Amino acid sequence: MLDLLLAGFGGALQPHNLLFLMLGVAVGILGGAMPGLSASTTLALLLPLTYGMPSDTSLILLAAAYVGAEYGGSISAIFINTPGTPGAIVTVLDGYQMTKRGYPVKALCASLVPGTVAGVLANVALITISVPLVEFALRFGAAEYFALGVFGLSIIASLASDDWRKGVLAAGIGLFLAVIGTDAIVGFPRFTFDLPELLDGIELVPALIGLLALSEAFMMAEDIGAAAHLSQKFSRAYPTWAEWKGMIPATLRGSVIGLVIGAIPGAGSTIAAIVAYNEEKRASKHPEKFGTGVLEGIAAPESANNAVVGGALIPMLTLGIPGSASAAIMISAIMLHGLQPGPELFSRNPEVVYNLFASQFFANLAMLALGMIGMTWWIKVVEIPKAVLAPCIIAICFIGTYVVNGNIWDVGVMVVLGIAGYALRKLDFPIAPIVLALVLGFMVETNFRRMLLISGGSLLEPLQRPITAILLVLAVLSFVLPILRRRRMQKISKEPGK
Amino acid sequence: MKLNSQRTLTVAVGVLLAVAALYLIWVTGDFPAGRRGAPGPALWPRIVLTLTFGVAVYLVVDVLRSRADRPFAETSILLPAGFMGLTVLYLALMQSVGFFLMTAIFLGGSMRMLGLRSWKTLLGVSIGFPAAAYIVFVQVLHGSFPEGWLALLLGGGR
Repeated sequence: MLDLLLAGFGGALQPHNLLFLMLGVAVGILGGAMPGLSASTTLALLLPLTYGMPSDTSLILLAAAYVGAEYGGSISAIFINTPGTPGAIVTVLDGYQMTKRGYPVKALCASLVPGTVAGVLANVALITISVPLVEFALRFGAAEYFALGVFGLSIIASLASDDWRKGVLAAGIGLFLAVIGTDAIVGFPRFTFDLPELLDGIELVPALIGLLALSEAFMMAEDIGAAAHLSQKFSRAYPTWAEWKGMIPATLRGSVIGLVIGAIPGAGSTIAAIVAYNEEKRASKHPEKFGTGVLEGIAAPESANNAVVGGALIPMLTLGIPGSASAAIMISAIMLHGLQPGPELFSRNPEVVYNLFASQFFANLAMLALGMIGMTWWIKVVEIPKAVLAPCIIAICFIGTYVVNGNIWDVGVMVVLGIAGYALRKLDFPIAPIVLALVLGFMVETNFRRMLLISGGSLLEPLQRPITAILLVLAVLSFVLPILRRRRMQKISKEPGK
Repeated sequence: MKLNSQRTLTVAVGVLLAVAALYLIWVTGDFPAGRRGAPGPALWPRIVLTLTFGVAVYLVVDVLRSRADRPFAETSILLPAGFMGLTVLYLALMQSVGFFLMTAIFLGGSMRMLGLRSWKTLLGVSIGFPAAAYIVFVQVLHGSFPEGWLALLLGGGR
């Protein structure tokens, strides 16, 4: 393992990989800093660029952008009181207060340095946990993979904001889109309606760009407004030694919370940041000061949302289960290069995995360097008017989709799914379950059919296998618990006096 | 019946999904069904579509029973609708007009529609963006894009 890790570090340090790593971090920071562009949208826009790259370089670019976006989200939270990414939702509470008091640079340091430390710690955990988990997963058969896929799909309940039924319907749409095309087992064309373009199914790149990026650009058109203008009068003072020391416990607590929550599919950076903020407030000797501009109130959620990246890569790399829309895009990039995500990736293409491990480490260092250098420059991005940004995003979507296969059909699919995605967002249907189901659909169906073939049509026999049974019980719990929790919260909020 | 209503439009989408699921289940009638030990290509889509149909009907019934409602759009949706219209036009004309020329027209038209007043920014982005994209994707990455009229006017084309 050590040889592979050293080779991975060597591979990540190749000049072209380092170049794309820096580029990925920079694009991620810019994308994260732009309110309205989430980490997943930034990754979706980058995805077509990776098509012509070697597989390891493409994953390095996307993973670096993912790391950069989580930090970028805090920049607009701190400067303009608007979280750039959902993970920076609680950073606004103390971050913007620091800016109002004239100390945005201190606030940015409280986001950047703890975020880097958390990212590196999560990277160490990723490397340590992944290999034993893969050795365990190599024992999986069709039944276990089917159960794993169902477990991956069960997170839709936590991804559906208010209504689980809308989450299930969104997943149904994604699963249906995944069955269009020639059936992989007997080669029968399904739902192709005599259109030869549909024989290969719905391509992932146009679908992901349409659903995530194009629909986002249409949403921007509703809220054009004026661009943010920033006051340039603020102190450029860095935190004092005592302030740095005060942030260490918050950083460590936030890192552990982010890593654990990140590894749970569906939980994601928003939940991690909120939990870390609440825990920090609870542990603090001066909880009443939270929300007035304390550095621990920035360090805890920012270290949590940066640690989520490493945590989310654990199920994605080892089991092939995307826990979020961003991870689904990274899985799509793996599949685009003809590789199989999951345990087989470790045995067949270890160089890809270990380069990714190493690049995660360097991406965090690059984030620290670029973050420090550009401390107050990155924020200029929020001054770009949405009237310029939205059309440019659409043009990037068109170019990115066309360049992959060079056909207009893909662009058409992207536009149709973009308009459908916009309409569904407006009606509070979540988009992430469509994306997850589209990516997982093939795995779930093929393993379901293989499982039935092996068992001679019996559903009961495969379900008696311990791992399958445990995964299916976990799937039921992960689907039902968020619904019950939400119902309880609604009931409490309806009680008089609450 | 109010059109600018989340309730009305959620019911409409629910009905649409339920009807579409029923139709698609009917389409699977042409797929080989397989047998007990060897399921065919029809089985999985039927499971997915039946689940979709059931949840869509449940959603429709529940939303109809509830009185809760809010507007679908707080502000006018004319602007996003016009923006989407321009996007569809961009798609429809990109092959005949040429990809980069159409990109410039789309950028200029949509920025103006979205309220951008600065002519410098309008011209700068409309010309600069396609030019930069041409350099990156055609000159550096050797990508091929529809050339349309532009190539004919310049007497080139492939």
